[in-house]
Parts: sequence; C-alpha cells; structure tokens
Amino acid sequence: MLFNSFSYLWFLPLTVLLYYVLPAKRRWILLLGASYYFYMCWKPEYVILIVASTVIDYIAGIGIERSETKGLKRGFLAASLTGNLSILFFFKYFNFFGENLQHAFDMVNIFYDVPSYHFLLPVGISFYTFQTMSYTIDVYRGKVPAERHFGRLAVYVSFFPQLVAGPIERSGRLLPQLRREVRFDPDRAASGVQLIIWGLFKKVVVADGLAGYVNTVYFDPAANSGFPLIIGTIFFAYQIYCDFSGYSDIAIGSARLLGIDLMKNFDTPYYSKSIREFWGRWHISLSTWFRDYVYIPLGGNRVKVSRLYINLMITFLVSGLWHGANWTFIVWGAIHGVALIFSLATEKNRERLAAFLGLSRLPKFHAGLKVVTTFTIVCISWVFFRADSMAHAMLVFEQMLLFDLGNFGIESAQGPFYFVTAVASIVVLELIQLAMRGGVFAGRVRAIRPAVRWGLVYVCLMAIVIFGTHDVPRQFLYFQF
Amino acid sequence: MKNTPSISRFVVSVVMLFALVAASSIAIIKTVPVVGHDYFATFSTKHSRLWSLEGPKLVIVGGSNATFSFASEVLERELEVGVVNMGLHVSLGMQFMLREVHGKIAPGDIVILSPEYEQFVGEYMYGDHVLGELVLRETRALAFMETPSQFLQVLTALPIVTRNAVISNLHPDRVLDPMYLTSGFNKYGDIEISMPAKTGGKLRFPALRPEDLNQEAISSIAEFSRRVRAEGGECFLSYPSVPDTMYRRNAAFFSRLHTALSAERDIIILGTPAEQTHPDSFCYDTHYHLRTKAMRIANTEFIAKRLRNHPSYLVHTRESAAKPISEDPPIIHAGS
Repeated sequence: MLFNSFSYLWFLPLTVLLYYVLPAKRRWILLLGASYYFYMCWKPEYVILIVASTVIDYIAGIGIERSETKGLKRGFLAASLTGNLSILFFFKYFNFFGENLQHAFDMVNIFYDVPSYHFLLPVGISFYTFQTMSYTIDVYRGKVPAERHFGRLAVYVSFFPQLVAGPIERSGRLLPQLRREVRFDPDRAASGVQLIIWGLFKKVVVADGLAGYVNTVYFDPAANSGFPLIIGTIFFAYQIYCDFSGYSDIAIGSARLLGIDLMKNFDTPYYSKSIREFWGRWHISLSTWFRDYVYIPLGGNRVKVSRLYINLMITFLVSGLWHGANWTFIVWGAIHGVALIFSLATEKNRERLAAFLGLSRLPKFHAGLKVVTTFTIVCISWVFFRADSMAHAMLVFEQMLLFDLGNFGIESAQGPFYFVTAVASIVVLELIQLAMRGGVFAGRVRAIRPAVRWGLVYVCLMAIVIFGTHDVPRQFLYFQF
Repeated sequence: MKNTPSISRFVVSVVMLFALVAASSIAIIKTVPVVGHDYFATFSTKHSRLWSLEGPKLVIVGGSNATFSFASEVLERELEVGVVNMGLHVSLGMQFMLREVHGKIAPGDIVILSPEYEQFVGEYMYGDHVLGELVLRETRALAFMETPSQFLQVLTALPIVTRNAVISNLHPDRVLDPMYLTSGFNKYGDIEISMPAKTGGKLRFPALRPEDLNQEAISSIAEFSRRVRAEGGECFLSYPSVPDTMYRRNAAFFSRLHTALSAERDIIILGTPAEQTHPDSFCYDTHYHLRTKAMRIANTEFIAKRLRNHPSYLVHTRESAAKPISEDPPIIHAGS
C-alpha cells in the first residue's frame, strides 16, 4: 500500500478512529494487525520475514537480559545479528556477491557456476532489519530493557507509518510511546494532517513532476548530452529529496495522528555548508544509526587521524552498500566518504585560503559558496545513485562534459510548459522551506485562526490535485532499499 | 471514549475539507472542460449510433483493441448489417462494457465480443481509474456502473481529470497524438487513421499467469451470451489479435483460457488464440493497437470469414430472417 494511493486514504482514518475507540491496553493489537495488513498488501508471504526478525530479537533481547555472563550475552547478540543479517544478505546481497564472485572465478579460469536466485526484494527490508538490530544492540549495551510483551515488540518492528522507508526508530524512543496511554489531541492531530499534506505535495507535485524529465534524460544519455543531463541531475537531486522527505513527512504525520512522535529525518539538507553538515540533515535516522552502531564501535574520532579516516571510509562504504547491491551505490558512498575526509583534512588550509581571498569579510557570500560547493558534490554523487550501472554513470559524465546546451532539454520535458512547471515546483518548494526554517513559520501558522489555517490546507490540497501526478501512483524511490 | 467529542469534531473538519476539495474539483471539471484529447467524447457518439441503428445490427464490444483492430465497413459489407464498434478502453473493465449493451440487443442482432486477454486476469474486469475518468467526463456513463468498487474509481479519477482540465487549458498548444482525438474515429467507432511506423516507445508485453485466471470473467461472458440470446441476438467471442512475441510468452495462459472458455456451453468462440496473431511490427503503441487501416481490414476480414462460416451464425441468421423484425427502435434500459 502506497502513502500516495487512495487505499491509504481509507486505511489511515479507519485505523486512527479504531485506535482511539479501543481501550489503550488493546491498541497494540490494532496497530499490529494494521501494520501487517499494510505490509501484506504488497506481497503477503514476505510478512514472514518480519515475524522471523521479531521472534529472533524477542528471544535475543530477553536472553541478553537474563544472561549473567558477558559471553552468553554476546552469544545472544551474535545470534540475533547473524539471523537478521543473514536474511538481509540472502534477499538483498546474495546475487550481487555471487555475480562478483563469478567474475573473479572467470578471470582466473575457475569453472564453477555460482548459484543465483531470482526473487523480489522484500520492500523495506533494510529499514526494519536495522531498526530491529538496534533494539538488540541497545539491550546488550544496557541502554534499554528487553521488551517482555511480544506484541508490543512486534509493533515496534513493523509500525506501519515507518515500516518500509523509515525513519529508522530506536527502541528507546518508540517502545515507551507504545506503552503509554495516548489521548486524542486535536491540535496534534491537525498538525499531523498538515504534515501529511505537505509530504504529499513534495511527493506528488515536486518529485513525481520532476520524474518525467529525469527518467527521459537518464534513459538515453547519448541523446541528451550536455546541459539537459546537468539539469536532469539537479532535478534528480530534488526528486529524491522530495520523494524521500515527503515519505518521511507522511510517516511522521501519520504516526502523530496516533499520538506517536517519530524522529525528524530531514532538515533542508541542500542548505548544508559541508558534507559533514549534509549528513546531519539528510536521512538523519540512518546517519545517526551508522554513527552509533558502526562508526563509534570502530573507534569513532577518538583514534589516530589515519584510523579516523579509515573509520569514516568504512562507514560510508557500508552506507552505500546498505542502499543497494550495486557498485554504483558503493561508489556513491565512497564519494561522500572521500569528500568528508578531504574537508576534514583541509579544513584549516581552506580557512586560511578564505581569509587570504577576503571571503571571511563576506560571510553570507562565503556561506553561499560553501552551500553551492556542497550541493555540487552531492549532485555528482547522485549521478551514481541514479545510474543503472557504472558504465551508465560514466556515460552520463562523458555526455555532461560536452556542454551542449541541447535546447535546455525542453524536448525531453515534453515541451516548455512542463519544463517551466518543473522549475516552478522547485521554486515553490524552496520558498515554503525558507518560510518554514527555524520553526518560525510553524509558530506563525499555529497563531492563525483555525478556520484560516484549514483554508491554507485546502489551498495546498487543491494545488496537489491540480499540479500533482496522479495517473499512476508512483512508488517511493527508497522502497527499493 | 473520553476523546469522542474532540475526535468527532476533528473527523467532521477533515471530512468537510475533503468534501470541499472534491466539490471544487467537480466544479472545475464541469466549468473548465479538457482541451485537446477528447477520446472519451466518442462514448456519446457510439451510444447514439447504438441507439439509432435500425434493423439487425452487429455490435462490437471490447476495449481499445476493438477500436484499433476492427474495420467495421468490412463487416457491414460482408454481413449486410449496420455495425457499431463500442470499443473504447481496456481499463473500463469488461463488467462495464457488457453492461453498456444490456437491453440494447434486438432480435437478429449479433454481438462480437473481443475482450483483451487482461480482462481475464485478476481484478482487471472490474475497471480502474480510467472508468472514473470516463464517468467524470461523460456523466451518462454513470448509468452503466453497478458495483461500489466502480463508484470508488470515480473518486480515484477525480484528481486526474481535474488536473487534466486545468493543465490542458494552461497548455492548449501541446502536441497531441491524433489517435486519441475524436477526429481519428470513423462513423462506426473504429480508429480510421494510420499511425507512423515508428512507435512512441518500446512495446511492453504483459506476463499473464495461468493461475491468475479470473473465473468470474468467464462466467460473466456466459451470462452475457445467455442474455443476448434471450433478447433474440447471438454473441460470438473473438480473441483479440496479438503480436507473436506476446503469444509466445503467454502461450500457457492462452491455452488455459481457451480451455476454460470452451468448457462453457453458452460461449461461442471464433477460432483459437493461436490463429489471432500478427508480427510485432504491426503494433503502434501497445500490443493491441494495429498501426494501419490495411492491417485492421485484414484482421476484420479474417473474423468476418470465421463468423460467416460458423454454424451458429448460419442458424442465427436463418432464424432471424424467418422472424419479422420489429420496426420500433430498440428500448434503452441504461443501468437496468
């Protein structure tokens, strides 16, 4: 079931209504049933994987807590991680590693056919696997107690608003919220609805509106050399941002209707002045996950500089691999890793250079320059993210460098009208985001009389109806991860 | 339960908001009609022809496959009957298509039912948002809707049609595909024009799985055939012509379907799926749209020949000739 489908328009209000009608102690049953139904709408049999992960972590959590020796605790943790990662590896990475192994065998003339399996990648497997793993690790670290209520843990693993594309919630935040009795709060619910509509706007108007142009130029880079590919890449940057942050907004808004707060996942990342800042504002739930469960266990920044760089690189390579079983994603992660290491290594020199060039006296210009530079690096990395293969990505770069104006790719955008509307959607997005920065806008909106506020929501909904892409509900890009 | 009053107020606000959006959308659709692609406008033309044809007539029922693969003048010439091609769009669903001709069959009439293969798979026969789009553009289509799921499609289509209405007016000079304009149709309801050899994109052939066969689609056709017969007409099922690649990929499904349809005594089938294939290059933008009029004529000649030689057709025409044909125009029981 997609957030941008009519089915969700029935499913969510019905779930919310039943949720508040039911006694608080029984609500977990509804949430669990709704979450499993939500997932099973896509491919029913794969719900078994979620159940398996839940069972593994339920047993492991209690086992860790009850164990008196460190060795036994470690054993339970290892069993949980092995179980979860095995499922993830089998469904997501088996063929990728198999193909690469096959290439390696072929190169050294070893005649062995590495087996491969063809099945559909379970939607959201990377998200819920990471979420459930964080629970067991946190129990092991003594940060959270083991959850004794199996049903509640099952809701934590499968909570439908964030099941298939995050935010990846920590048990320390979500489980206590599932335990407490929630009363209906109209203001909170209204803000949830508004967030859902804002997310829909990002997805249906901006992301899906840009998808046509992006798909056309990336489908045949040879026919769209130069400028159209540059524009296409910038459009893709906005497409993926609006697609993913739109999903997160709908998820957070949906959970808010149920009285549950999910963590913020995006914070206008394209205003970042460095790659480090970018990762503090892009897919925050994933970057903090990697910080807490990969980077810090590797030693974090309390190590020698060379080791710090290695830790960063490992973290970003794993992050790339998390996104997909393809070399393009690994390279995407590597670009971010290299850019971050470079920025750390040259920080002082760059400050000196800025002072020498007089940029320190023009702080706004300097900040703008940093934003543009960061955005350019991010866009370069997006080429690999969007491309189907390394060869495809290299072809895109080759064609880009031809600097052919190519009629601005207007032909690819089905004429000037669609090109103008695509650009206009980005401008509107940025204006609204600028207004919303720092929570000032939200405060102002709250201060408006409810009738006027609902009037604004009506205008936003009409904009979605008129300027959205509705013919085929497009799947969210991050579902594939 | 302490929450009930505030929930009620909130629910009422949200429902009112969405009702307002729906009402505004309908107001837009009705005051700002879609400019350009007026393919669905032929719905009225086809129904007018179905109403007005006197004497024994031949009615072609199907999706766009019927529109893009029949040359009705061939049937008119060879069988000496008036012809109306009711084909419009596969996604209207067979349930709706069959309903459209209920009660409009007079003694001596012939129905050629040519549903796309997809109609026999999963939920296809119930229609999707395209059905809603038709209803919002041509309100008279409401008369042929019967199930709640069909009405739900109107809601699904509301934003699509609203958007098309506004965008088509903001951007009236966009390039339009002539095959989706009313001017592309002839008086029978067939697409008249020939399309260029180069297609808009690569053809995509669906993978139809035998296990997804919807038995209800077959039962509906049997029921429809019985009804037509009760009204004094006769119904023949003709498989749509598909490209060779599509046939090869789905041979197992076609075989299963043919066996299931043949098992129904009330369904009269003209030929087999294997006999209704053509080279891939004959297709324009989908596997059912034949590019040129010559291809459509050839396809129709094949069907006409099969029909003329079919024993049921011979019996039907002989019986019809023996009975006096009513001078009154057929009574329309829309939605009955």
